[in-house]
Amino acid sequence: MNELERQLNRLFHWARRAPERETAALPYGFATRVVAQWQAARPELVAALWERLACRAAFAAGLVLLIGAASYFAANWHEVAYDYNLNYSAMEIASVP
Amino acid sequence: MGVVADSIEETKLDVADCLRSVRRNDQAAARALVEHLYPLVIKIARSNLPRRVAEEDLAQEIFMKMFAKLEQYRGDLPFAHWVSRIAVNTCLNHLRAQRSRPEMRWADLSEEEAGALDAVMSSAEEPHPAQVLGARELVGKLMDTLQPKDRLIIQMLDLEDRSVSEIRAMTGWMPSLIRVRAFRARRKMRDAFARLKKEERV
Repeated sequence: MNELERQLNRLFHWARRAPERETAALPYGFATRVVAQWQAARPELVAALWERLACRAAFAAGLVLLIGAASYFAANWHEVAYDYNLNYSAMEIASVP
Repeated sequence: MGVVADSIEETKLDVADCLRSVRRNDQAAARALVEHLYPLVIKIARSNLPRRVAEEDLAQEIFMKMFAKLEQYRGDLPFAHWVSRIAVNTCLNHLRAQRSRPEMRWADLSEEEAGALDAVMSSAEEPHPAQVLGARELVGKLMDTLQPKDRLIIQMLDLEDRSVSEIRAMTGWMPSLIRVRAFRARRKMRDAFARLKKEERV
């Protein structure tokens, strides 16, 4: 351990010995003040809760919609992609004099 | 989690029961919870107090965050540890917002701080009470030059003598991260101290 490290350790050691500021005692009216502020902020908290709930519901609904659409297109892909019958009948009509 | 958390566990408040009541919007239970946790919260706020922020305001902000997030508490860790993490993160956010970290200059030291530095360097065995206070202030000033997380680690490890597991409980950081961060923070602190010593010699 070099000299610098030793001096720094000594500094920490002395700093630890410094008396802590006592009074972990609650200031007068502190708890009442905090609870009053919490109560005042409560409607905002409820609104935020609803907002979060609504966002989640919208996301879930979007997801269901996407899955539904994807499965519908997967099931009816050939019919939707190209209707050969329709084209054949159109060609028949066009080629008949 | 140290003396404060021990004393918190000693006081007879059924936290689980109290939390149930607070969730039902019971104001008396909320007041009891604030009174119960105040020593823990104020100790963390005082140890990591940013400049120009009053400790009581910081404690109030921590309690407001605790109430706002109460629905998220699942009971998978002790409530005191959960509140400690909120307190630590709130302090870190304030320290980060402070941005400027003052350079430490010999000329800025008070008489007590300069005395403590002299005594530390001259290997005095038993410090004078004024030097002890000076050492505390000097360490505080040196810590002000560090990044918020480095400062927090030095505060907990070197000044409060907490173990890695205690720091983990309070911050949620992994032990390996705590050790690496402590090593780096200590090196930065040593550099700042060396700069100060050099200035004194000049």
